[in-house]
Amino acid sequence: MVLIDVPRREVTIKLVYYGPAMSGKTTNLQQIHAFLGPTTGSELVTLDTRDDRTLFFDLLPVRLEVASRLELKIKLFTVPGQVIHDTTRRVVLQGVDGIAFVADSRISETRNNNESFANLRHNLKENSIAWDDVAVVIQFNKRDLPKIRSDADIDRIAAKGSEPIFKATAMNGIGVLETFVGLARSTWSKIEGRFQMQERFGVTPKDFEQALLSALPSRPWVRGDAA
Amino acid sequence: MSEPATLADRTPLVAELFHAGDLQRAFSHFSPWGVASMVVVCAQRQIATFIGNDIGPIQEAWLGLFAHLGPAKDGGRELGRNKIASLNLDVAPLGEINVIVRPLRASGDTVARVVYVRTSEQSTATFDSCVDAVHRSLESLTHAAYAQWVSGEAHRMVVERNAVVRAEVERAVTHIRGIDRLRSDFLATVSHELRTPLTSIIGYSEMLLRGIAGDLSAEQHECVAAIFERGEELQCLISQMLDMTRISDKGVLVVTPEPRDLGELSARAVRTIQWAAGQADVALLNEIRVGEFPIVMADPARTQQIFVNLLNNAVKFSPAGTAVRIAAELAPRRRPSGDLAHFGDEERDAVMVSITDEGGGIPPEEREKIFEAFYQVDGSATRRHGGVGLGLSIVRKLVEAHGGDVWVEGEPGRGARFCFTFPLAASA
Repeated sequence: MVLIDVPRREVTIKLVYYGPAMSGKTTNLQQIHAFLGPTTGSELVTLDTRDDRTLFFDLLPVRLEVASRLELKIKLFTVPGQVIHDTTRRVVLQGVDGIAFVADSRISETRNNNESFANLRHNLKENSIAWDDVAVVIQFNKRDLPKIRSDADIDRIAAKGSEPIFKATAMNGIGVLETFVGLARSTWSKIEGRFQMQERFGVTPKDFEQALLSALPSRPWVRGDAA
Repeated sequence: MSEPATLADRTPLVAELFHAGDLQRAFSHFSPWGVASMVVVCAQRQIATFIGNDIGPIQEAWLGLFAHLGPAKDGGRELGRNKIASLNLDVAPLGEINVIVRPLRASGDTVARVVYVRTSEQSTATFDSCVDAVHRSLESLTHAAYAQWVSGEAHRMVVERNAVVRAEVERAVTHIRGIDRLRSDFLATVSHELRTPLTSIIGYSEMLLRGIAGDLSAEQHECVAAIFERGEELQCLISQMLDMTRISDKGVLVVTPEPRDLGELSARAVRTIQWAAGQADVALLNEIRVGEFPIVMADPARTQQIFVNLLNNAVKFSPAGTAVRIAAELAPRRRPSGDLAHFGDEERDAVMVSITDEGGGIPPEEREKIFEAFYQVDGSATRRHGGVGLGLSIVRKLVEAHGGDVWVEGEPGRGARFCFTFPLAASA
């Protein structure tokens, strides 16, 4: 749930990267961190095991000033994808405003994607969060691998649901910022609808987007020095 | 006990991140480079750490400064919009001193502010770069300390929760074990006590039917035949109940799947059920041909049990003159997830067998419950058709032990379609 501190004119929103194990949630955050550069003072906190599996969560705080009228803190979290960490996932999801579901594009991973998506719906329900109250975007990651869902397949899947869909190769930074900006935009519009930020703070969705984009490098968003 | 939820969203106090003494040791070397004092300020205007020269005389000035800054905790005003402030303060005994105030953040929130005081002999430029270096190191430390704090807190919560859960589980397990032993003893005794007289009833009625005790009139023969048949039925039910007890006793059912042709398995099951189907005037249409599908992993005896249970059920609930159809197709191992199949169709790594009847069908709200032990959709149907509601629950345990899934589809009133899957040998 978005945290609004009216006297301090400060708003904190919580975005969570969800998805099956090894689909690239942490990689997304690492790339966003790299794109933001060291100047923003946003430090990525990763809590993982020795084999790079997320144990509790990763956290990347991003601070923005919106139209000199609002201090905005965006806290980006990842959840651990492994099935056994369900309690942690449910816990990290509490109070979420927007979710990026990071799916693995490989056809062989379809079942894991479906199961994790069902798990997301279940955990939202467990946290008494209505599906319609959160913004959800879907990222089809790992577009560079063989045996993946075709673009036509993804278009068909996109047509079936209402969630915005992004394609990405997070390892190379491709599609990462598109997903992030898309998620932030969807989330802001949900928050605007529920809490009237324009009326309350005089901040329009356009102001929000400008503030967000000013923190990011200019397009095209491809990282030359990517791993 | 605090919930882990608060952990992800919580900001630690600076005292939870550092020991003042550690900071003192780490940063005391910077004083020759122009930092006369370095003060970490946290909640309630407390002064957490002093580093460098004795700044006792300017305590008063600090307090004035804090009043000027306002409370620091949790992303306070942070000097208005300025994250970094450079100030000149007039302090009575020392005259004017130059300070830099910078926020210290963890998890995106300000946990403290750090006030750096310049020595009078140092140039502003050197002081600035020194403060920058010191503050960066301090930020790295904070960052690492925060990660450590989260791990520590999470560990503490897990341990606490484990202790509670373990105690609960132990209590529950003891309780369940007791009940389970009672139940097993009860079932075993009852089955034995039931079987002994039943064997006599079946045996003697069979002898009567064979005319061993003399010829029977047509009417007597009919009566004895009824006794014999009902007796056999009762015996079958008792063995099913025993079967269920054995399955539940082990908890997990052990099956030994081997590569098998589904066509052969289904043909064998159909032969077994043929006679009963004929009696009920229900046709059996087996559409699975030998060699039609890739080899599956199946325990032959257990598969026979699955088929026979489902076919028996289908025949039992089919009106006379209708047909039961047995078909198969390649399919994903799990039942179709409907709306939740967001990411397209899953790999078809199993053979799905379907058994379709033309009976009353199963209402949607009953479709999960019918696989539970002792559950009957309609109590009156039991009286008509017999059975205690164990067949399907045995089927589910058997199918799941094979790594497959079982479910039921179909419109109510238009027949039921029971489906189960067997993993392909190639994908196992």
